[in-house]
Amino acid sequence: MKNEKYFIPADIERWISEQDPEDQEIYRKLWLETGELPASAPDVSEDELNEAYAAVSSILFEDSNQNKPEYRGTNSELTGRSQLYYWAAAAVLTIAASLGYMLYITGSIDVNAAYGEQVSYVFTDGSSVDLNSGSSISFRRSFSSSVRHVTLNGEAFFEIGEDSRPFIVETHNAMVKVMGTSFNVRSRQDQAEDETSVVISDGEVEFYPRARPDNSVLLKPGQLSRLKELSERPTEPEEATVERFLAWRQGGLFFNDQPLELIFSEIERRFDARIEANPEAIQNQRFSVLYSRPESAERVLRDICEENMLTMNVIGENQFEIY
Amino acid sequence: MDSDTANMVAHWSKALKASDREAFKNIFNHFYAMLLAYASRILESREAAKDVVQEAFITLWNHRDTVDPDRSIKSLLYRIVYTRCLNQIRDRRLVGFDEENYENLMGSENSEPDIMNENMGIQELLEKIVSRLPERQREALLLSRQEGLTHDEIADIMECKPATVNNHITGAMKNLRVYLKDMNIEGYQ
Repeated sequence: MKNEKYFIPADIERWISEQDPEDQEIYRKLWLETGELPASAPDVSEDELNEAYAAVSSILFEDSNQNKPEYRGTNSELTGRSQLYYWAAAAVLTIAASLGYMLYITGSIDVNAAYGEQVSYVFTDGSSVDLNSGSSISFRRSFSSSVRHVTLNGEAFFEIGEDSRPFIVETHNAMVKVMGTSFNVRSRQDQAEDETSVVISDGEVEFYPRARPDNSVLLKPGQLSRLKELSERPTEPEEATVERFLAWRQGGLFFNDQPLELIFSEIERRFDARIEANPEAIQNQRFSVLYSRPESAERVLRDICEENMLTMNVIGENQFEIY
Repeated sequence: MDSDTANMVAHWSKALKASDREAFKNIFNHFYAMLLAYASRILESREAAKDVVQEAFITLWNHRDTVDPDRSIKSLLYRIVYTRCLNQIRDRRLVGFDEENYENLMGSENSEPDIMNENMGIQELLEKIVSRLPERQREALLLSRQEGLTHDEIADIMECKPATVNNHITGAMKNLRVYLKDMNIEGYQ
């Protein structure tokens, strides 16, 4: 479907033809007039374009062994080369700051995706992580020379660059150890669920309880394993539809035969919603959900409630009562 | 986009998936100015827009292996920029935006209604009225009329159905028509 300035798309034309006859010409005219709205295009000089690209590529393609300078609170003393690094650091920082927030305390960094938000973050070694809503990671500002170690609370997708040092994700009950790969870790510890699950999209991963490195399972692409609460050993690797477990990265919502309580918790995180569900009404109810792009908490909840013969009331902005 | 450009972009998208940095650079050079224009309009600050657009490209690179070659990389980039702009605006509201941090503030949205008078040209007038439309209507209308995107692309960006985009746009047209009529603008009475 082409959208030239003077071309009226079929859908719009159909709508126009349904309007009052004396209005139809006016709408056609209006369509053309709005097409003449001045594009706010700022001129971008070649220098400016190159500078912008340099800032981006210095973040993405910097030699991973090179140490980045310390981030400073003020840019007043930064000049020349370090200005560029500052730019890079500032841009990386904004990624975190724009969605979650980042705390610089002595040597340790926290990246946090609040309810209703998702955050991407690039580590100094070029590895990256996407955090799902209501999730956080913390790690030392510079990785040690022997190991890259990150603590995760919540759900995240990691893309780890190959490096001589292993990359370890620690959760409330498990450790996930990799060399270079991409994988999803979900570690939720609340009433609805208490487990860590790992799905691999590329490479190989070692997965074991925090206290029992000897009880590890080796996971290959397309495989899933779970570690419940304080169990001694993760479940045997099973085949999983990886895309579904990664659906959240594209804004999707996927649950396969999960308790409603767990599904509601996830909807609260994703949409920054508050759901007051009568525990008795949802007790022992399980449900499967697959939305590639849910438009709102209300929409999803309405569907779920209809299917499960529950009643839902909207009691405030993004606040729901279910019984 | 003419079909040559479309082919070129499709070719770059494939190469991007294979981590081709040259392709990434081409995509950057091709889309940077239009995304900057788009983000500047929403954020009313070119400096803030620069940050958002650069982040969008970083996200694109970091997610290159999940880019769907059959879907428009253009609408993907617009979607990332759009989402981040909305986040920024929301964050500004939360923390109280420090205007001094951003130069080039391109006039503030709050400079209220001294704006309209009969001597304005229709274009100028339309611009002002459009800026008062409900957010989703305005966004859909401008993505269509100013950025020249298709309903499908806009649906992708705004994360809704193409039919919803059509509703936003026609809703915007209706509102514009009412404004123009109320103001007794010639040709719109």
